[in-house]
Amino acid sequence: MNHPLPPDTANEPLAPGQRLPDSERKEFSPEALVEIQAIMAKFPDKLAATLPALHIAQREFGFVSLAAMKAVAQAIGIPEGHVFGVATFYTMYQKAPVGRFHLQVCTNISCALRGAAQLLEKVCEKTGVKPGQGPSADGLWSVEEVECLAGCGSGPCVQVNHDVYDEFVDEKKLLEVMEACKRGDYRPWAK
Amino acid sequence: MTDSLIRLRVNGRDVASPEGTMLLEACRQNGIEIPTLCSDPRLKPASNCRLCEVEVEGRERPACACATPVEEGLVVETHTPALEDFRRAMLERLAGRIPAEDPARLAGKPFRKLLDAYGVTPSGVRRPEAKHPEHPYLDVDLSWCVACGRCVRICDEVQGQNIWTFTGRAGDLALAPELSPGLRESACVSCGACADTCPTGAIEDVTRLAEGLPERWVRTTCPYCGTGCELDMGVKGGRLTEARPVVASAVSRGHLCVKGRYGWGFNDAPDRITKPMIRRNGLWEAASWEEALEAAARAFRGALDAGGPGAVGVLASSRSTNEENYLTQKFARLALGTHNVDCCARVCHAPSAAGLGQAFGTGAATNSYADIERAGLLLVVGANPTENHPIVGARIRQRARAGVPLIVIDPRRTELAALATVHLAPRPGTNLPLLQAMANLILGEGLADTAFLATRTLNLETYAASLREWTPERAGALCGVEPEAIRRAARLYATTGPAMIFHGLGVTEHRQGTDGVAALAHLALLTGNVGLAGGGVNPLRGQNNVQGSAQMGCEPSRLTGYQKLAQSRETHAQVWGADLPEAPGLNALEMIDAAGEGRLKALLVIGYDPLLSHPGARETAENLNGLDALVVVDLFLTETAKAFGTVFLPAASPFEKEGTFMNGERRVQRVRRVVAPKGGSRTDSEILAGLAERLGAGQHFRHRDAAAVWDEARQVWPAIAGISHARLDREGGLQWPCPAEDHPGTPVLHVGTFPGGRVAFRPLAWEPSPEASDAEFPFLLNTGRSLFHFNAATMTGRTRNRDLRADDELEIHPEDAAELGLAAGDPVRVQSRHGSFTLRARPTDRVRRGEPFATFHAVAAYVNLATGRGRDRVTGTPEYKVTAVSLHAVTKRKA
Ligand code: SF4
Ligand code: SF4
Ligand code: FES
Ligand code: FES
Repeated sequence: MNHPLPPDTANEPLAPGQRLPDSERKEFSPEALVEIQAIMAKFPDKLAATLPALHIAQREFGFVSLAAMKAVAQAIGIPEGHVFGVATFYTMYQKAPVGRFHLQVCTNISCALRGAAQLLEKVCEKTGVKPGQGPSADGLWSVEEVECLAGCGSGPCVQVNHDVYDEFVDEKKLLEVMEACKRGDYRPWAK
Repeated sequence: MTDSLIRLRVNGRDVASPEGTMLLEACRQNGIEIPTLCSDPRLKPASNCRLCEVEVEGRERPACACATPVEEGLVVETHTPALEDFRRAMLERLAGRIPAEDPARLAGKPFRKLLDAYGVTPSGVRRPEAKHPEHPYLDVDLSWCVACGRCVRICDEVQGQNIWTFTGRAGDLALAPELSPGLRESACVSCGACADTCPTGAIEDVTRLAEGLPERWVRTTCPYCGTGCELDMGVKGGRLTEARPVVASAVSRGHLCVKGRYGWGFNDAPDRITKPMIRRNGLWEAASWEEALEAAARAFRGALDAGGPGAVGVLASSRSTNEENYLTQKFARLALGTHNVDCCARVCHAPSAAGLGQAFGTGAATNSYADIERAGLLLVVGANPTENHPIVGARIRQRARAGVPLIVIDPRRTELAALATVHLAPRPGTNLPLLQAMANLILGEGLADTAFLATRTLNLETYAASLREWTPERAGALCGVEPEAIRRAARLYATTGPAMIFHGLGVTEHRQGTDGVAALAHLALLTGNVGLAGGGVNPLRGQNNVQGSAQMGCEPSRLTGYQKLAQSRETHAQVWGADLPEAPGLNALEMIDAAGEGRLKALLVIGYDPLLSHPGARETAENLNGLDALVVVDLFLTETAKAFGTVFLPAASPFEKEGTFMNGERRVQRVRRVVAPKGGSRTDSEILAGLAERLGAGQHFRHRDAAAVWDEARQVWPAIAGISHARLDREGGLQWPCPAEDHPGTPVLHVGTFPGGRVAFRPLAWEPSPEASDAEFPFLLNTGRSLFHFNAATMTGRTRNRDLRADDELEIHPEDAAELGLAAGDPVRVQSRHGSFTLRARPTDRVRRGEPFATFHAVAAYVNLATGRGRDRVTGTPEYKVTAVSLHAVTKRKA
């Protein structure tokens, strides 16, 4: 079966000279810095704090912007390049702005067998955005095609932001989820 | 040492290797070559490419030879059919990503050799989007990248800059210069290490791509700084086409900085002068060598007739070889009959020679660069090695990153200061109080090495008493440093051994430069940090051969070997077969003063630009104007030559002659003729011989070659008697003292005893610099160099280094800049009591408030128009580092 959607461009190799998006925000909040210090204290090697610090950056900056990577490098005292490498290696760090509700659709095998591709198409239709193409005009939605969400027995699955996924999602269920988002039933993406 | 050898069996043969050797190396030593891609002797093993996998009996999986240490009784097979198939398959996979087009890019590269050995050909296509933005020296096209990671690792493990990083993963893998769009915008220092290690040419020298593989290589020593790195120079069509680092070099260990690696372009610069010239009626006219030498000789004869030997002088070049410097001082003493000979050590490290000479008995670095890795603590004073001695700087940085405590004393927050365990930022001109307070604390808190003091030093009591007034509080108030920080630094230095001191011009270029060096020497003595590996006091010598110039005797009161005139006049006279004048001569600055007073009439200036580099340029100009004749030997028409030269003799460059240089750790290394002298230029030796001939002293200058000159120097200076050119060619550089051919050289001075037995402490009295700031001149100006240029930029200014950093800049604290209404790049006029110059402002918190810093390379800026007359009390070295100035924003008027 042909993939019904253009490929996700979010994780294409970075062409030389290509810059990732930057954010308005340039620095960590004092609380975040304290949090990072505490994390660093737990490890013998400060490089180990890179991953958790990037999560904090994603939360504070909304996405892992260039400024966020710089801030992480500075907070931990490690080369910027190292942070850049790590942030681009892991796909779950968003390197471009996402909507208030980041809808992640699993298209792995189990879900695929139960119509994940069609669901992804629906999600794009209803939100008006395609994977890797940034938030919708109203800033509410962004969409991403993701790997297994560990709901293989009850696919297709959609995860909203960080921690909640919904099972057996069909069009009706999708609309419900989107309504719930608008009502504020889901935790927003970033603070 | 045979008992520490590990025995193993490789391909059915018994081999033995020292413990800790990797299998790869062990095999190589025994003539078995294992293919590798990601390994480089400069780097820790990474096991990325797995080409080096070998079968080890009893192990289920093959092991990477590059990362597996030898073990007793290992049985190894390196080239089984299975391994070879695996290698071929791996190479085929990689070759699928390498463009089949433009095979020239791979020429001579390790990857090409591997492909050829396994009969694999590249079959990929060029990806236009994989080409990186342009850079003057580095061409990056990741179509050729095989993701071996060598560039990333060398930039981290060797240069310590951490520029390259892999982005993405698997098939999306790419390489980026930190967070920047291109190398140029990144913090890359253009050391070229990544291009040198890259096995495929994905990162390659621009010149290699333009010129192709060199026809031949010649090994020589870098003509820039006193580190003395070795270079392999590539030659094609009789021209220099590239420079590569030498992995086997004891000094540089396969690394170079932007100057050595890419700074050779001056050799063929269009404005290099290769024909002699004589100035007639104010204009330079081409002349034959015969005419020019005769004109020069006539000028000296005239001056000698009119004013005697005091009326002539010679400024020697720290860029020239030891042999040429030896001939230069011999020329002054025999052909001109004067001791008026000096070199540019006067304006930099004469205080180090004097200070260390007084303190220890030998005026040179006590230890070796190799001790950087042995030191338990590093103390860097008034030096910015990551910019000025980048190879030493990179190694200090690696140690600091590995957790070795680092103390930096510098008014500026240099790169090393930012990494330091303790950074003390004294006001310019207050080094001595700070060091005295540290010494006082060490004694007061009982941290001194009493055993060492008791057996190897004298005069401790008087010295200790003289220190008592220097409490951290008093010194701290004078220096603008927290007393607590002084305590921390002193305790750390005294209690973490062995502790190694490096110092630079931030110590010497002061009114109390010599005393500052002595104070450092005292710290080392107090803590027993002299005469042991990883300790000592080590001046970072500025020019490639400034150590050599002074050591060869280009000094008004010293002869070859830095031996006192009175002491070795006899020896010299004997070897030379001629008498030397008795009275000592004038130093470089005094000679120029004497020219102004009409006492000095004719001056020979070799590879030296006093007008640009001496302080108080206006006064220097007035003085030089008093000369009847100024004979310039140089590659280019220097500022001095332009303004006052009367005869110009075009010299051969350091790449065009044979000889030796002496680096900052007393190591004598070979300089080799890479290409023939350009056009009609001649070596200093030939020029000096020609002049001597015409002055009736020709018989003293008829050496067969550079080796013969060196052999003569060995006769007058016993410390180098064991160093011959032949031995240098065979064994590589040697460190003096090396009194006999079977002596290994001396990496560490003063082990067990000093040349004069015990050494005496000398109480040092502080005297504030008169260049204090006041209401009219509220700022204290400091001066120095940037990474991309060298001194008067005579050489670097003629390379593409100027594309990397074109202009001199005035570093100024952002708050000062804001008060003056200056934004980055705005012109600012710097006015001192002596003169003024204008530079562009660069606001940065590397400098403190009230203490701007100017680089001094460019002719256009003429920073020395503003520097003053302050000189070190002992050696007369100018106080470049302290000038009271006022700053004025230059308002841009419409034309
Ligand atoms: S650019 Fe060269 S050195 Fe760097 S990873 Fe690619 S092939 Fe290796
Ligand atoms: S040139 Fe030197 S500093 Fe620049 S990226 Fe390459 S290794 Fe790093
Ligand atoms: S395959 Fe979709 S959740 Fe596992
Ligand atoms: S050389 Fe050993 S893994 Fe690459």
